[in-house]
Amino acid sequence: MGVRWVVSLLAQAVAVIFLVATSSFFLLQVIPGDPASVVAGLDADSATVERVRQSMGLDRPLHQRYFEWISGVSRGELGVSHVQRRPVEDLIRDRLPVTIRLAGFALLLSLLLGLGMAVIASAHSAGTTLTRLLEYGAFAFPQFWVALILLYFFSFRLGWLPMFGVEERGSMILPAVALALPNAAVVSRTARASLRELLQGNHALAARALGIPKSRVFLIHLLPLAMIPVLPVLAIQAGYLLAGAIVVEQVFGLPGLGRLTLSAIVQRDLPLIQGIIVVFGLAFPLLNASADFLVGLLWPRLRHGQSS
Amino acid sequence: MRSLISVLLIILLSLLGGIPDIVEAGGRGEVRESVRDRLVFGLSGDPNTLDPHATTGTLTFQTMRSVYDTLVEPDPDGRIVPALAESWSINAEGTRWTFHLREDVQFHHGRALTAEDVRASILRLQDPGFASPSAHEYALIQEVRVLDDHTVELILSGPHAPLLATLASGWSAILPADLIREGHDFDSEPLGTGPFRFERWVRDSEIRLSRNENYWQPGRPLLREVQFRIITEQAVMAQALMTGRIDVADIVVEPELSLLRQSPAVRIYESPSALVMVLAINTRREPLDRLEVRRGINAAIDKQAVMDTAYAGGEVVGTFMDVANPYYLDFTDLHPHDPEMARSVAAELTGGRELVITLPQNFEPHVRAGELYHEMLRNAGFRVRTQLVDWSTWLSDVYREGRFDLTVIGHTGKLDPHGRLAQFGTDQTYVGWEDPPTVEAIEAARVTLDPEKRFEHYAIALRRMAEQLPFVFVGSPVRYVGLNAELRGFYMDSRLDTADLRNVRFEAP
Repeated sequence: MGVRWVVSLLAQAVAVIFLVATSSFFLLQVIPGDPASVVAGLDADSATVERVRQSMGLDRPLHQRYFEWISGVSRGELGVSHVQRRPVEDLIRDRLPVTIRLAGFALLLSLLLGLGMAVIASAHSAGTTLTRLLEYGAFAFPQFWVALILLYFFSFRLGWLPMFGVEERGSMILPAVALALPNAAVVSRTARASLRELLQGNHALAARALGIPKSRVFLIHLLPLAMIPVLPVLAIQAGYLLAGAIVVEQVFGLPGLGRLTLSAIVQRDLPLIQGIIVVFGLAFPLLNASADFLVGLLWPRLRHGQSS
Repeated sequence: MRSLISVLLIILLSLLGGIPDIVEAGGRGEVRESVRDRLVFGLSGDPNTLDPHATTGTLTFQTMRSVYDTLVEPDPDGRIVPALAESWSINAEGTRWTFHLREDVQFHHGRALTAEDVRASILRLQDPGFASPSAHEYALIQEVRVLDDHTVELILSGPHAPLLATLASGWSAILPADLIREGHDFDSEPLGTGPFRFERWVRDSEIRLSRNENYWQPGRPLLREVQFRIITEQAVMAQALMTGRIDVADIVVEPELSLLRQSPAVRIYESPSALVMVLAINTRREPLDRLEVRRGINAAIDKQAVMDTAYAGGEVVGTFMDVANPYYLDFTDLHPHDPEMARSVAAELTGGRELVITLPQNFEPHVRAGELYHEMLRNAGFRVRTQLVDWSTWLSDVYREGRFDLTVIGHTGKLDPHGRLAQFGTDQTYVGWEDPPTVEAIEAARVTLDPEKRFEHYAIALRRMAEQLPFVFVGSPVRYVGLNAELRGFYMDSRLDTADLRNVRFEAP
């Protein structure tokens, strides 16, 4: 992990932020829906709507607003929310802990579930069929629906887990499961393919030739190697978890970034939407970099561009 | 081997983050008090702000009704009665309104209410820099005079009867002058004179209030604590109410309504809503600018069927006023349901022009109603197409810019009929229907203080609208609130769409 790596990572992050910030700013200008009308409400006359528009600064020319905003972004200031009238970075900071907790828990669950499924599939031919079915299921059922079904059984029927909010004990379990299922399928598929390859490779043959028991070869020598392609996939998936959080946080009433995103879009709170897009945009290069970092840390031989 | 250990270590470490959740999941996390004086109120969305001067959003008033008071307030019969003002008088010209304030009112930070607070609140509402969306309702107030500590006078540039109702509405909340001056953050830290004090707001999660021990109504409120719980999913709201996790579901619609009716733990609170559900017609456009075509469309609609199927029941109306309103007049016989007549209009007068019904996609009942209108119009031989748009697009494209043929919406009522009718008949509304007699009648009612004379003026306007059909006036639905069956004293003002929690208590088990 040299200086060059860090520098290129930073350059990449800056470029991504700039591109994402600029394109989101201009794209949001062309979508229909007027933020001032939303805030002013049904009863306001046109003079009131105009006053509200001015108080939002939307009456000023586009290029002026763009340069103000983009220079703000370079200083780490994302503007002020039209609707909540607070700095966007504060709003996002308030919501991040819930979403990070949810996504982190879901990521972990998807890793454990996915690896478990892959191991079962590789260990037995009947396991392959079962795993495939589970994978299809996890992909095919919409998260929204899965979340409601989980809620119905475990909260409403059985009363084991809370229905909403984050204060009560165990409140993250159902949301994390709902969020983790599609990811678990992705992990399982990737790990399964890589395990199959490894089982037929020289590693396995050599280990068997040395008389190491099969299960030991599998769990200690092959599984860690199978993780190598899984980690980058997981990093990409972590980004998608943030998107899935929009649905899951809505169903379970979690005050996270997903809820904030949805209400910002519904209310056309442009500075807030832009700010969230920048933060999400930043998440992808960061997650990719941390996956690279982890792979390098765990498998030092891969660090200098050597492949196994 | 070393790599395996680090993998395990990392997995273990990240697991620890999740473990507290798993370990603690054993309990149901629910504590039942023996004496229930804590209310959990399920709210269907998060307010944008808690500043009642800064919004027109119902969710703000639904919660802030309990934190703030107004000079006057509506009683259940629709009369305006004293609140912070124990009495008031209006001069004969209707230009000088004098309010005498109660002397026993304290703000939650301990300072006594004075006339200066009323003045500061109204000036804040009028301040162009503050840009309150309600500012236009106070536009005629030229001056707010403080006569003494407990007397305040509003000087109007002309008579304006709807002002009293405005002063009784949630957006006329009285805020403390000292905090207004200091630039206090009323958006997130409301402070008023109301029955409950604000404790905390976790956005998109909950709002907590606690009893104001010094409230000016003796012995009120009865509850010690109110927690507004934000639950946006209707299905979750219903399940939470049935399992006792919440005590109030602020609004209930089908299909959850039927489910809740069967639950012994739940009582459904019904009140006539102040809404008028309409199929709005863009009268600027061909061929909708012709009355005969609008009558044909109106005749194609089976209004009762729409009310029952899409809006969970309600009463059919024939004009732009809700059934429970004292100003309501029945014009339902004027244009009966007549598919035959609709068919001949569709065949002869539309010239085969396709009509687009634009629906606000986030309101399920309107979408359902839209599908019914589509079906009914198609059966009558009209060429129709349905188009869904999201709420903010609807607001700007349809409502502000009038780019639509037909659209479906519910118009809310206000305490005063002027709130609903203002601007109708001018070219300022989205239906584009211009009618000088209507404008004249509405204006005459606005400047008339005598309620009986106002009724006569509004009768003219309502008849014109019933005859001219700028809308298909469909009906007023019933407003359903889901309540814990043990809850007593709950009252929801349907015109303001806000709950009064001062008398709410739980029946002793």
